[in-house]
Amino acid sequence: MNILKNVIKEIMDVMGLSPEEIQLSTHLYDELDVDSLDMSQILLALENQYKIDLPDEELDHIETVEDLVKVVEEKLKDKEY
Amino acid sequence: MNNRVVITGLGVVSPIGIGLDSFEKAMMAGKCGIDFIKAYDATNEKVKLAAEILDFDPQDYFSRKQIGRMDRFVQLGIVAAREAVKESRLNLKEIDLNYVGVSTGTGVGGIGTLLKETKKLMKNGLNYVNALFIPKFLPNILTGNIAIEFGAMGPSYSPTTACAAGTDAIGIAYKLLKYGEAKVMIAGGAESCINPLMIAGFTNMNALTQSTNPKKASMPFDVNRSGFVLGEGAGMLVLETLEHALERKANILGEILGYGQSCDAYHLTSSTPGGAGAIKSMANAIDDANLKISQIDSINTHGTSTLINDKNEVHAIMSLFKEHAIHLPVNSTKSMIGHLQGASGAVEAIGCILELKNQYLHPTIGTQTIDPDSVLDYLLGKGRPERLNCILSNSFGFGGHNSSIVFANNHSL
Repeated sequence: MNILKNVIKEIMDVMGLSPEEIQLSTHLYDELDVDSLDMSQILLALENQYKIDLPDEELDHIETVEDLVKVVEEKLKDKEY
Repeated sequence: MNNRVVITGLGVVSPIGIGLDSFEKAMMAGKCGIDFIKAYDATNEKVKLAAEILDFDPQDYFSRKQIGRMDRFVQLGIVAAREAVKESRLNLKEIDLNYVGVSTGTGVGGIGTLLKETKKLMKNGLNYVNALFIPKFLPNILTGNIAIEFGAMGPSYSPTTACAAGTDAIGIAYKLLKYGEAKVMIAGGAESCINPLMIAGFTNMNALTQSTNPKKASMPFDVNRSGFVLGEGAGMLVLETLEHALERKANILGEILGYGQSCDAYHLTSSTPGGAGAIKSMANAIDDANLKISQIDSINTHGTSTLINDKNEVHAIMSLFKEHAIHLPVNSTKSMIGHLQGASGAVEAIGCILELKNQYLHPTIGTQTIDPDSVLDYLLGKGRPERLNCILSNSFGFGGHNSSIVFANNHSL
């Protein structure tokens, strides 16, 4: 749950949006008009916050807020092992 | 092809006013835009004064996301460009945007962003540098932003000839229009670098005044002048070929008659003694305009308030204009707004167009006692009405860049 909260916060900061505009199912590109520069900022902020690596190839799997949350969760799991 | 080039829109963000109307009133009245630095605590520093734009709130013009993507110099530049395009009444939906170009100058671009990101790099490491650092910092990024804003797909340039950059950006645009490479150009300059790094750099090379009296800090041509005052701002012009402007029945504000450039090839920061480079750029501009020396009615000087610039510029004016210099009123906009670096030539160009429109020259304020080496008619303290057909404007930059441009009123159009 905290990861979702933090992901939403980073998207809010970069895109200048309010929390009610971002749901778990929200499509980052189609609904929020996120572009490559926005995405770079969001990923960098999450990398620094969770001390994980989110390489460019991860972008292929990320379309919605939920996708982004899942990628962060997986990277955190990998880190535990 | 040899098109005539006219001005159909102006926009300005300056320390003495945001927007053309407030700038015009303040400039003609001789308002001083210099005060104690607010951008950071300069109480115990050698240089305490600057010409800041204190009433500019980016939230009045941009979304939060846009603000995050733009250095302040870009924000100022876009606001000025919006005003210029609005005033020109260009219908962007009806004109061929492949022939609309952008040319903007800046001295140091997004150096405020550079400073901020360098602090993060040194404190936290490479991974903490903003992903937008490069597109916020690049000096050419204002041109890119303006092109995106208006869909301008024609020629795009970003001269970085230090304090001559604004005049060069307008000069380049003028040439592109004259020779038929574009039909409309949005041209000008923007600068915002009032931060400890830039102030320290200029202070340590003795370029800035350490005066603590805002009213007597920028005092061009004064015997007691002691350096320039750093300012910030932006000026943008919409330029068009005369044919294009007439076709769409535009309101023509004035004309660019000629542009001249030269390089001192002498010293990194000092101009050639005697102002040989300045003589050449002024002569080139007047030649390009097909005018005689005696047809120049006034000069908007570079007039920085530094010992060397002012001395050499006056010497250059006296050498070139000879006996006409005695009858030639000259003024310095920097006496009111400080030195806007890469934006100075652009804001001063707007000043010239307004002077031609009003048939009134703005004063040089701050200056009290004219240097006995530099006796010209400086319009000290008070502007005055004059019959004005043509005004020459000078901008000189570190690196030895000398740029001069001739503006004319719209009476013949």
